[in-house]
Amino acid sequence: METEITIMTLDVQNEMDVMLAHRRGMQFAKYSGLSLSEQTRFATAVSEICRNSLEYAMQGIINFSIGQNKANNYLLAVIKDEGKGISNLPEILERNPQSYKGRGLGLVYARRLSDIFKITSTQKGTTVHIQKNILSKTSIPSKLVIEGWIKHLDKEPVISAYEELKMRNMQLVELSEELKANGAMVEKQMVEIKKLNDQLSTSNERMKEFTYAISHDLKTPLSSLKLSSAYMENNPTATDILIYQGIVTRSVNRLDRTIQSLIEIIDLQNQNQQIIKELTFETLFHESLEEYEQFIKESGAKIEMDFSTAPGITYIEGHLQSLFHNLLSNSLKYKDEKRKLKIRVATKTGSKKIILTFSDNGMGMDMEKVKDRLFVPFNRFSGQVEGKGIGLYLIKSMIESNGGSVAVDSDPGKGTTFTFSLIPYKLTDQEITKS
Amino acid sequence: MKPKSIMIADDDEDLLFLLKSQFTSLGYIVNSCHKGKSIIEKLIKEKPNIILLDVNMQGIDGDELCRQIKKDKRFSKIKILIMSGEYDVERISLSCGADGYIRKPLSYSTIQNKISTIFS
Repeated sequence: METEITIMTLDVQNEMDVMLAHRRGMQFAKYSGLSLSEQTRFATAVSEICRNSLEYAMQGIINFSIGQNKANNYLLAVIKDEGKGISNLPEILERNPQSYKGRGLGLVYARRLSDIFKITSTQKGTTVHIQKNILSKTSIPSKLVIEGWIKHLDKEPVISAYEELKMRNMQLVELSEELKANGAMVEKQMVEIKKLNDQLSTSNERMKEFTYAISHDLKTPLSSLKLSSAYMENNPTATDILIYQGIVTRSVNRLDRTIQSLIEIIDLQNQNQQIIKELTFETLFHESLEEYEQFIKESGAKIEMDFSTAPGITYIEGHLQSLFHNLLSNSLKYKDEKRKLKIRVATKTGSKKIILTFSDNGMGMDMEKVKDRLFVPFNRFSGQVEGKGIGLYLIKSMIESNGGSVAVDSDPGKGTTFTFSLIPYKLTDQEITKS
Repeated sequence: MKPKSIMIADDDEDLLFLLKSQFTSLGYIVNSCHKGKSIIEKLIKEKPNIILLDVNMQGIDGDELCRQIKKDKRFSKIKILIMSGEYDVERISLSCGADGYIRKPLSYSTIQNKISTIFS
């Protein structure tokens, strides 16, 4: 249903009338439920056109109405004058406010500020339609309500140009504050979106590495199994069948190890639901040392630790246990046979984080060669040492899951140093339990 | 034309043994290479008709090797089939200029079919 009700008609004969038209524009926009920024847009468009009528046609007339069509409700201002018309209308509307220096941008601005802008101009006069859509789905106010608006406005005291200007300034200040607040909110949301985006691409990257690793470590032994069983089936009495049986056993063992590793990785993902505790590094490290007591004794390894400046952290216990366990195991596995193994573990406090360093004087690695693959699961760099190749992948995933980071420095023949940035977890009251 | 000589590059020694014994028994001359890096020297020496090249080898990517070999004029007649268990092995094969691909887990019949398709 399409309806349109006139709210008010005003003559525009002097500067005060232009101000009044602006003021009424603000008021009707406000009564119609438009936001402050939309009120200002509408009123500014209205006063720009009224000023044009006054300047080029000496006078004009403005009609405010409110209406409803199939699409939405709207507020409409129609400004008419009986001047000589605008001869170069298309050229004026094409003017670019950024490059055009001079008068005559009123029409351009008014068009930008309107939702629908129509202009007709002949030698007998000019008519401009400025329409602002009202997003509310409720029906437009009745004639009775609009009469109420007018009565209310009639009671308004007469105000001077100075007061009008002051009011407009205040509206502008309010508006700029509203914009500032919106800007701050958008900025905050952008930061949040960027953070989520980063997390997503990290987990995507990890997923990619993971499928890559699985495809290799599951499908290669599976190939060997398939090929050797095909051979044994076709040649059941062959003399070399023992070799093929050996391959079957090795492949099955390898598949078993890979599946064990996958279970460990999935367990780690579930550890995120684990309880967070206040932990002391020394206790945790000693627990790991006890696990490897035999190996440490046999190798005569020298272990140094210094947790004096940062003795503890609030963290997931399982993650730190796993970190010490895997690093110790690596140092013992990849020790340099030419010298006694030395391991040094230390912590210090950084801003909002704790820096943990773990160094050894073992075989070391050529970082140029290994840097891309060091933390990828199922990649091992030494064919001589037994291992599943998931320890460093697990550690990196755990540390990064709480926003921390890992750095490695290594020299072949000299040793390796891991540096961890650990971000302490925050405890809620219920979770506080001392370890 | 039937290829006479095959080079197999894979870092898994069991797999190398299995493929080598099968194709040798079928009458091919088979050479193997379990370290990707040494393949170029072996290619110069052996001049195979076809290479079965594993994509995920320790220390070097098979697709990168494939690119290097395809660029090298000395090897312009050699056909390359890449082998991988990755789901997008077809894309990898196209991007590195291989003549075809074999999906892991492998089976003798698939490898034989692929080889005869390339040379038919």
